[in-house]
Amino acid sequence: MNDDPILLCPLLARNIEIFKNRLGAPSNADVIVRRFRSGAFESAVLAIDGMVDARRVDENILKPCMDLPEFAGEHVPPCERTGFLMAHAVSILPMKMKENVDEILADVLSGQCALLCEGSAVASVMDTRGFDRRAVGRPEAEQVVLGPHESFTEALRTNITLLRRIVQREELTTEFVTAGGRMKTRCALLYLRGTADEAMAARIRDRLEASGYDFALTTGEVEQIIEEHPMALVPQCVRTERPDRAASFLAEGQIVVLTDGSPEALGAPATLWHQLHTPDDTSMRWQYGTFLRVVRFLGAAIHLFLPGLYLAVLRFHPELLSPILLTSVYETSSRVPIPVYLEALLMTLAFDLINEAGLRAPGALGNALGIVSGLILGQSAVSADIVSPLLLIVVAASGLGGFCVPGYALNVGLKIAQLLFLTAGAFGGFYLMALLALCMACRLCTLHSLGAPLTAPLTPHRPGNPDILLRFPLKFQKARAFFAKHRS
Amino acid sequence: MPNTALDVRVRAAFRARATAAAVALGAQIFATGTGLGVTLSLNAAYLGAMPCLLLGVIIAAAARRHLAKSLGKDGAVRLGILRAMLCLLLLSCSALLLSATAVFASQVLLAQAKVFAVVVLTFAGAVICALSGGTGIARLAFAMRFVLPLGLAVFTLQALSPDFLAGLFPWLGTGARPLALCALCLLGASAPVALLFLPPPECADACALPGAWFFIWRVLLGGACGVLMLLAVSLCNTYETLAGLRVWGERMHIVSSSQPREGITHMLLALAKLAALFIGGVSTLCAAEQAACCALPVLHRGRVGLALCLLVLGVVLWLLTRWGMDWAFRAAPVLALPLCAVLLLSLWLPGRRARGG
Amino acid sequence: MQMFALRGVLCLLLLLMCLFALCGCTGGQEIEDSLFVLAMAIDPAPDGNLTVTVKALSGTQEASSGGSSGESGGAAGDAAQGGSPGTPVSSGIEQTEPGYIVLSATASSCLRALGLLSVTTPRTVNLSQLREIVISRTLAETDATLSILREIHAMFRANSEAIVVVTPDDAGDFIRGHHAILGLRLSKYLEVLFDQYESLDIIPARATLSAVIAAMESGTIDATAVYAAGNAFDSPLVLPEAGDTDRLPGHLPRTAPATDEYMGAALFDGPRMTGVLTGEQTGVLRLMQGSAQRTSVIIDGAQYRVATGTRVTRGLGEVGGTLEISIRMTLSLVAGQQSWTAGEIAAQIETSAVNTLRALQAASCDAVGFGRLAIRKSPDIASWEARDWNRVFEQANVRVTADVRIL
Repeated sequence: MNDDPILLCPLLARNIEIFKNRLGAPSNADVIVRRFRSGAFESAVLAIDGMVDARRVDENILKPCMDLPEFAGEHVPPCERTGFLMAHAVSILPMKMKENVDEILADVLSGQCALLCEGSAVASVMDTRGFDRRAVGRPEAEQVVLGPHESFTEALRTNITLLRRIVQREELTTEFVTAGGRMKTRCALLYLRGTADEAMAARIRDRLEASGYDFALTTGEVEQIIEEHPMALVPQCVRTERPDRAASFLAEGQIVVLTDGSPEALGAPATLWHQLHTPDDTSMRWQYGTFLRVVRFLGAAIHLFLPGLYLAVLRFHPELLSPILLTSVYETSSRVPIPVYLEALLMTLAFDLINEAGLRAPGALGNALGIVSGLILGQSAVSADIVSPLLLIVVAASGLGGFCVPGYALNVGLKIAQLLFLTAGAFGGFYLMALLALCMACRLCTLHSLGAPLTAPLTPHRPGNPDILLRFPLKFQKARAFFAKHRS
Repeated sequence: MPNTALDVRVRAAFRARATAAAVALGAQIFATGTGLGVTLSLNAAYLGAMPCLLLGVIIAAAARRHLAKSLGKDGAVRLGILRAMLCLLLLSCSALLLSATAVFASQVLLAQAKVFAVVVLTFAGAVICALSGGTGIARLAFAMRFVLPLGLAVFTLQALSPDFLAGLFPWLGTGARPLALCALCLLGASAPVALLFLPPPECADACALPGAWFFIWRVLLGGACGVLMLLAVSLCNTYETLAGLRVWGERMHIVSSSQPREGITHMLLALAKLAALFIGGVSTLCAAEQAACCALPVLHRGRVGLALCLLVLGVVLWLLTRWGMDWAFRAAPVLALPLCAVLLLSLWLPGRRARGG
Repeated sequence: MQMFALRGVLCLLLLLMCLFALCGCTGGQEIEDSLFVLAMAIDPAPDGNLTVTVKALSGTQEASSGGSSGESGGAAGDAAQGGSPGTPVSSGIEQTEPGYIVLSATASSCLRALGLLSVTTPRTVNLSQLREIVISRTLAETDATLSILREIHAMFRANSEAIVVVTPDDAGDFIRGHHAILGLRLSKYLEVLFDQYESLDIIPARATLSAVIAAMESGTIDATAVYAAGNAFDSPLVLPEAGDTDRLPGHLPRTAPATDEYMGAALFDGPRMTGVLTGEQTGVLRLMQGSAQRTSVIIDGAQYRVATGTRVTRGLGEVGGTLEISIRMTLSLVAGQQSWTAGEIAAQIETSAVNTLRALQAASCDAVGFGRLAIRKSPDIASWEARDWNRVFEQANVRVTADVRIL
């Protein structure tokens, strides 16, 4: 891309030629260039077929312009003709006047249409998007028992609207940013002025604009541009497909990033505890929320440590087993031909395969998958003495614990960590597992999300609400998050 | 940066550092107490550790005074000498604590493993933690500030037998003179508190320091935990049993219990002790690196300072596996000398003339 | 960027070091590579050797047909005869019941015998599930007991809560006779057995391996172990002793599928066994130690329930230049079919306690722990050891006071 921006010129034919060359018309059949007479001068509308609402273009742009009397605008200076049409003929609400060819092209490609006039070096870009979009539905991955059941869609404007319906405050600010070099994706940064730290929003904006990637099509890619520690196993932004949860992020002082084409919102800065909390915790009474949260934390701990602990006990610390349990394990292990570490790896891999296959298999096959995996892989493997029943239980319990983790990204991260702990337990017992846990915890304590420590307010100490593991009653939740500008 | 008041961040950083110093002190008292104190004074070693606790408090107060005088000022020669001595002192503490971790682990958890393998694993863990700088380990120590002492207390109480008071007698153990010698030899165990002479990396410039009691009571609690663990060793073993325990790792492990299925309790207790020893060892290692880089700023580039510290640590650990721990314990009381030198040097440093000057 | 590269190189080097360290140097073992021993018996063998017999998990529930004879280097064919002098011998593997095997070996020390078993099985002997150590009385009456127990305790992961038992019979035959007559698993059967007898106060408290070793090494208290014997015959004969628990095991008239009987305490003076207490005397001993659990007491044919437990105060005093050891016990009993008054019951208890204490003095066994009171008066170890507590204890006067309340 050239450093000098290409601007429109007063000649309509020249401008049309520029756009046609850039879009590859006439071989690019999607490009619509409609020339018409609007009063005393010629004009043209530029759009992409299928992206615009043709009826709106016809009724609100073409018809009113073409119905102007022949002498309309003859005394208007040529450079102001576009403004004249916007003031007297066109009746579309969102519109901007632009002269940069690249910006106009980006808007046209996103579904807007551009109105050009003979003699004017300024075009009017109007929001006439009319492509098909998915209706607001239920969240797929964040279902709750009690609470709203709306989720974000792929349309950026719809998502912003969903948020504005909940957060009806004048301080709610939306900034548009583009991510990607050659294939631009529109992103929206939303935050509450006076609550969020504008410097954080500026940092996100700078990172998105300065990223050298050709494209960043999804929320995930945008997250990877924003985050500070790409090598960490733990995500540094929190993702949600629920507008109510995104609204709570705004209220806490976080910046919410929406990406056009992705039905998820990103919240940053985020701590580790954001990844483990769900909307259920807050919408229910504090006793229920606390109980569920404890169950979830336990589930995460079981998912992470149980297979490793099992191997550590069998290989290094059998004295911890009661004699009855030891006898059972001894007898079953004697029949299994492979070492217990390989056995555990195989079963863990099988479980992950079943998970992935269940995600990818079409609906009808997905139901049969449970029967296949349960009966054939599980029962038959035990009957054939390929795996021991106790290991099967351990892996299944660990898998169940993983399903308790709210965020899918964190779940995958914990799966990888689980394999590390499994190996540590198999080769070094409790000691190596403890060393690994200390190293990981130490590393975790140094991670930041937009400057906010990931493990705060637990460590380092930051004033905060009593809301990490135990969810105290609402009357004790007096302060905003430590990264908000005004905490009271 | 997140919009948090500067003093909140500074206090949080000092809290984490003070907690790391407290954990390191408790761990060093326990390690040196079981390694040297018990061999001298048998069941009265915990009494011999009390003066060490007092010295730790004095060092904490002196460190606060030194920070008030020297923050934001790097150019003084005396400061460079002080920091070089700090580097050597803290590196010695780190070597002792990490070797204690490895020896204890190989005695209790990995008895059939080769000691060299356990040492390598411990060293690898220390390197991975040290790569994050002193911030990570200090924050981890702060996160475990309740879990560790509570775990140690609960599991130790569970491990006591009904007749635990028998281990206290005779009060003076091997006698008053050996007890005095034990107290003298254990003074060097307060060396880890010297890491408070260095400001946290987040607060290298002049900033509002917390008061002296901020550091003192944390150091006191950490050291008290170490003394209480020595007391627990006495409560759980009679003097005859202690006299028969020739290996350091055995002395660190509380052996007596009449409770059935106590294996899990002992395991958890051992893990809690290992965690404290490891955190203490890595905290002092990171502080040694910081001291070296402050003494010679050229070491800061490319983490050369850390590499040098790790090299020295690795050599010392390897020597310990080859020659055993006895010579290390004989050398441990010597730590008191550079510690006193650091104290005196910190008292003679010139005061800060102007803000940042 | 440079820092990142250096960090990456360091991490890689560390990983490589860890991989080398992980390759089999950490001592991990598959569970089926271990021989889990549940019970161990030690008998004296000719020429100063020891015969160690172990009962271990076999890893299968299928019964096999008999045993096979094994041989070890230089002693082929001598297995049944015990081997030539100085040569360790391993005898055959026997399967006495499904799930368990019995192995034995003879060597000059316990460790060598266990090592021989490891070699011939071939599995690593693992004592982490050890429930019982049986020593024959002949061996227990020598100074070798402490060293044997220390060797076992020093073995990697030996269960320090294993119960130490002394038997006048052949210890190996004693554990061969173990069967899980109630329930499925021998390990659970033994666990419940010892818990049950402890609750009846007919075996001593703290007869675990670690406690016995600590007491043997201690100068302030002496060790007691469980006394047991086999009773191969069932006799309806009623012997003229005061009560059933006043007899020693091996002589009880009863009908039961198990030959093993556990009752009473073996008394030790330091490392050497010096006497035996009956079950009744063991109950009184536990009463004096403050570890009595029995909830019902039969006195003169009437049954009483101990309502609020026993409070025991031990004391040391000087009377006429002689040390006096005293115990004061306060008991609350719930009346049963009462025929005696509280005073009469108290006198009976005092008499029993004095007799038991005198039996302990005769065996030079301070099982109650008066030494732990005496040491408090000595400021340091040298002054305590100069006191020669054993001799003082043997010659001390005894006084017992019992306060009984019947509710």
